[in-house]
This record gives sequence, C-alpha cells and structure tokens, in this order.
Amino acid sequence: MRIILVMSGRELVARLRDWTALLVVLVAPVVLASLFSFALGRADPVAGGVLGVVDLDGSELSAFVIDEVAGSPEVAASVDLRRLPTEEAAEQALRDGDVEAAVIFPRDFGATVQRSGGQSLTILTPAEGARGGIAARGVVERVSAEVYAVTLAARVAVATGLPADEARSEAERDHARQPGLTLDEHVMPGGSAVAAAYYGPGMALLFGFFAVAVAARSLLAERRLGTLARTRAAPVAALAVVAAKGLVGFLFALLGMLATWGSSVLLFGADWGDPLGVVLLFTVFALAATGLTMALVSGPRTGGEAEGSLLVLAFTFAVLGGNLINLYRMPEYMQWVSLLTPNGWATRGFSILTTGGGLSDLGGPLLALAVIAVGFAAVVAVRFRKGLT
Amino acid sequence: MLTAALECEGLVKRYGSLLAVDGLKFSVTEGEAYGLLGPNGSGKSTTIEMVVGVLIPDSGTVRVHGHEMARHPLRAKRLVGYVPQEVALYPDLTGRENLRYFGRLFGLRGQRLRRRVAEVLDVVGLADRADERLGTYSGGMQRRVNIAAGLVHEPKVLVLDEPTVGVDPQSRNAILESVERLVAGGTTVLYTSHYMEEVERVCDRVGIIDRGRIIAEGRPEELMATLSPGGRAEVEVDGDVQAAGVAVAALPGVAVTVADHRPRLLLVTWTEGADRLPDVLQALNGVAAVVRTAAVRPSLEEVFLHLTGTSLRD
Ligand SMILES: Nc1ncnc2c1ncn2[C@@H]1O[C@H](COP(=O)(O)OP(=O)(O)OP(=O)(O)O)[C@@H](O)[C@H]1O
Ligand SMILES: [Mg+2]
Repeated sequence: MRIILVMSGRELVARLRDWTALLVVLVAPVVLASLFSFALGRADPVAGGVLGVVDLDGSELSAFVIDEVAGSPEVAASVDLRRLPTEEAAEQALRDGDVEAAVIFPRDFGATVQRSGGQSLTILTPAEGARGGIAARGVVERVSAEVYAVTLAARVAVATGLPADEARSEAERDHARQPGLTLDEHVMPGGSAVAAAYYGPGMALLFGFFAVAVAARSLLAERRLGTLARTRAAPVAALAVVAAKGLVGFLFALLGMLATWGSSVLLFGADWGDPLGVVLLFTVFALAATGLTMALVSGPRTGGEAEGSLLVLAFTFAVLGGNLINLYRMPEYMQWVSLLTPNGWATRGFSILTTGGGLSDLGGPLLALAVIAVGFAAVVAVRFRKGLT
Repeated sequence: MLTAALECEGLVKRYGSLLAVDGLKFSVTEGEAYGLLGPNGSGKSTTIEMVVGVLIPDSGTVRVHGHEMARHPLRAKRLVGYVPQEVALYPDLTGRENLRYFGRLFGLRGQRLRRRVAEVLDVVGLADRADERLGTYSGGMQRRVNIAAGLVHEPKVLVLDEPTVGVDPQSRNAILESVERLVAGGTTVLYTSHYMEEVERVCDRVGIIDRGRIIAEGRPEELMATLSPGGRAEVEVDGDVQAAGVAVAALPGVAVTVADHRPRLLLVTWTEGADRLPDVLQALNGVAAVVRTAAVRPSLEEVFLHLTGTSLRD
C-alpha cells in the first residue's frame, strides 16, 4: 500500500509540474461548464404565464395525466395550461408569444410508460430565452410524479386486488419516486435552460472518462520512457503499479467531475439534485471508468495505439450512454445498449436525481456501476499476472 | 565453494519467429564481475531484461542468490540493481528526486534514503547538479543518474546494460571507474558491452554472445590468447622512421607498417608469442628514439571473426 502511494505521489507531482493536473481537474471542467451554460442560456427563474400542452398520444393515460397535472394546486398557482392540437400549432403559438413554452406528450407516451415506466417529454422553448423553461420543467416534474403514481397504482391494484382508488392513495402516501420522465428540450432556434439539467451531468461523465484517460496515458508513456521496465525491476507487484495509476486516474476523474458540478451550481445556478447522491454517483462512476480504462491499457503488449482508443472509448461511451444525445429520445434498443456503458447507468442515476429522486432510489445505477468497477478490476488483476512489460 | 550470485539456465526468448535468446546459460559467483560481450542484436538486452525480471522468459530459469525470479520475484528483485541500456528516468523530476523515488520503491526511507541518495550522487559525481530537473541535464549526466538509480538500494548484484553508449571519453572513464570501485567493494556485476577493452578492464570473466547463445567464455586474457595468437602494438618513434621500420621488420615473425596519417607511428604485429614488445624495443635501440608504446587489443570484430568465421553483423 505504501508503495502504491509512493508511485501515485510521484505521478501527482509530475502532473502538477506539467500543469495537466490543474487543467484536468479545474480549468477544463469550469470552462466546459461555462461554455455549456452560456450556450444553453442562463436559467432565469420566471414563473407564471401560459404553458402549451400538446397531447399527440391521446391515450387514456396521457389524458388522465394532463388532467391531474392541470388540477394540481402547484401548477394552477403558477401557470395556465393551454391545450394545442399539434406540434406545429405549439410552435406557432410560441412564435406569436401566446405561450411561454410548450410540453409535448409524444405519440407512444402511454404505451411506453406502461411498458417501462420511463418516457421522454419534449419541451418547446422560444429562441430568445428560457422564460417558460422553468415553468415547463415544473410541470414535467409534476407529470413525472403523476405518471409514477398512476403506474404504481395500476400495479398495486393488480397485485393486491385493491380498488384502483385505494391503491393510488397507498402509492401516493409512499412518496417514493423513480426515473419516470426526463426532459427532452426541443429548442426552437436558440437556447433552453432546461437542457442543462440533462447535459450538465452528461458533460461531467464524458469529462470523467477523459480525466482517467489522461492518467492511463501515463502508463503508456512510462512504457516508452523505460521507467516502467525500471519499476518492474524493483520489488513491486505489477498490480501495484497499475493500482497507483488507477488511483491517480480515479482522483482526477472525481475532482474533474466535482469541478464541473461545482461550477455549474455555483456559477450558473444549476440544480443536479441531492448532493450526496451526486457525489456517490460520481464516485462509483469514476471507479467504473478507472477499471475499464486500466483494463484497456494494461495488456502486456499495449502500445501507442491504445492512446487513441482511449479517446474513442470515452466518446463512444458518451454517445451510447446518452451524454451527448438524449437517451430517452433514442430508439428503445439504443436505450438497452446504453445499459452496457457505465455512462448509461450514471445518466439514469442523474435523471433520478434531477427529477427529485434521492439516495434510496439510486440503488440500481449504483449497483450496476459497482459491478462494472469490480468486474474490470478483476480483469486487470488477471491480466497483470502475466507481467507488465 | 562460492555461492552463485546469479545463475541463468536454458533461457529462451522468442519475438515472433525471431529467436532472440536461444538457451543461454551462465552463472556469476558472488563478488565476480561478468561481462556479456556481443554485437548489436545478439540478445544482450533481452537476456538482461530476463535476468532482472522485467521480461518473462519463454523457458529457462534465473536465480539470484538462490531465489528463483519466476517463483519469488520480489525476493530476487530486492537483491538486484538494474541499469537499463536507455536512460529510464523521469525528466520532470530532479536528479535527486528520481533517485529518492527509485530508492523508495526498494523500501528505503528516512535517514537511510537521504544518506544513500547523497552517496550515490557522489559516486557518479553529480552532487552539485542534483536539484535541477533531469530534462535539463546533458546526455552524459543523464546516463550517470541512470546508473546511480540502480545503486541507491545497495544491490548485491548490479546489472548494467551498455552503460557507456553515447557518452564522451571523460564520462565514460568516470563510469568505468565507479563500476570498478563497486567491484572492488564486493558487488557482483553483470556488464554488457560491445567494446572488448571495457569488458577487459572491468570484468573478471567474459561470455561472448552471438545470436542469443554464448559461443565462448573465460577470463579476458585467456579469451584473447586463444582467439588471436600473437599481438599488436603501436610504437611512436622520433628520428629515422624508415630505418626504424626496417630494423623491426627484420625480427622473425614480426610485420610492421607505418600509420596512414601519422608518419612517425609504427604499427607492429606478430603472429607468435604473447608479448614481443621487448624484442621490438631492443631492435630499435640506437636506431630511433621511442616516444611512446601501446599494446593494441584485438577488437571485438577480430575476436568475433575468429570465433564465427563471419564478421559482425550490424
Ligand atoms: N520487443 C521486441 N520485439 C521484437 N524483436 C525484438 C524486441 N526486442 C528485441 N528484439 C530483437 O531481438 C534481438 C536481440 O535484441 P537485443 O536488444 O537483446 O540485442 P542487444 O544485444 O542488446 O543489441 P544492442 O547492442 O543493439 O543493444 C534483435 O534482433 C532485436 O531486433
Ligand atoms: Mg542492448
């Protein structure tokens, strides 16, 4: 253990001296978060106004949910809902300034909710800012709770034979939430504040992978430098060498993600949900990303070509995991594919948090990420039996 | 009987279809300096890397003071200091920091670490530049730190892979001197080179390696005696060079030529007898004044040619 710290310590000193540490854990995250926040527009907490609602689904469920939301006191107090027939009508209303924003229930809303409990709502916001975005988001959160309650009620009713009404109040008393809905903003040319709630964590995740890659690269660099061979001639287990690199990668990833989060919260007032949940997700995600990356670079013959594949891997995972393209907008099979990436799991975790979920709802993503981390750590351990040259 | 500090048996390493090391076997007794002498690509570095446990042999065993490298790598490695052929240090750390780091990897700490780092800096004569970043050192200085890094933990067995490649004669001499001092102090040394005179100066015993096999082994003078009967010398004279040449050439079994660009330097060769230099000086007595004489060692090229009948491949 002491040896691992000695090796990590040297690595940290080197990264501090060549400034990569500062770049990775502070400058880049803050700059990225800033660019992102500016690109998406700053969230002005505006309440009130008229919100358009388009029900493309027309199912019993969507009609029920919209009625419930419209009738809920929180929504009624802050916005008026106006039903619009089509997406085009909503866009026109936005252009005319008749509505501040519009929430669109997609065609397969009811079916998808019943199948998987998750769905994506589209929000239209006008180009000049995000005035309606906050209100729209509030509605969606309300809808999310509603959808959950409705589906849960249906399930409880089936399971217990209770009348639907009673089942429903049972479910509501339970107050729990799940990753019901996420926002999928459809920006009329311009920007939207709501997107930050989805893409902020996405950025952090992509960034976490990059940070690990920076540390992992140094293993490849040491192979070229010959210091890896020299280290291997010392009485140090191969696994300790990789663990030392992994530790630095993990630290970089964690600090980089924390900096992304911190700057988006402190500078731009974003809300990612329960802070403890955010930190936990970061931690387990950083572990998973570290395990995966180290497994990739730890092959006995891994050379310079791996350096490129690290970046490709980081990007591929970000795309598949829904960090660059909204997960809930992708075809269903892609949503399944995303579960093969740590990013996909972490994204689900953050969706839970941004829709108001807490620690107790994070079990699935945390467990999945932990399994990925442990699995790849095992791969690394096995590969390193063969030596590290 | 002396214990073997280092024992290699049946070492084999393949790179694809290339057999880089082919059943190599040698052993070095405690306190002995053993030289591996061979041309480029003969498998010296590959052998060394297997000896220090950086490379895993396809077959064969390495034992350091009885500890088998494959079975107890940590125990074996603790006893070995490795100086790789290429400088293998961190350019963004200072010389001292590099040495402290590698000392720590061998478990040194505190007072002992500080003392050892200072000692090895003295050994390689870099104490005054120790706190500058390694990247700012000259190539020769980096090589010296490279050696020091293999010494910090006071290894019982020091393994040096061509430590003098690419350094000026002065640094080279300094390096050879420090190795000689270590040998005198009882350190077991394994040394590779493709310079006969280096190996001869530093090593008690030499193995000549070609295509991954040891093709001859013995004490340097034994090897040279069996390899090239006779000898060579350079004699610089003052006076009538022509007459001096004639006088020397008159000796039986001795041939002489004048050096191309140094008209007063005679190159003398003889085909029999270990040392005919006294005869040569005798013959010159009263003919020309002798300014300087030097015995000329057979080059590795010649030794190699003699042993294999082929010239050194590059
Ligand atoms: N990693 C490698 N992959 C493939 N071939 C290799 C590798 N390392 C060495 N070789 C080959 O193995 C043979 C022995 O190389 P080695 O480096 O051991 O020679 P050497 O005696 O140290 O030469 P030099 O005096 O140039 O340092 C050479 O033909 C070399 O090309
Ligand atoms: Mg070599």
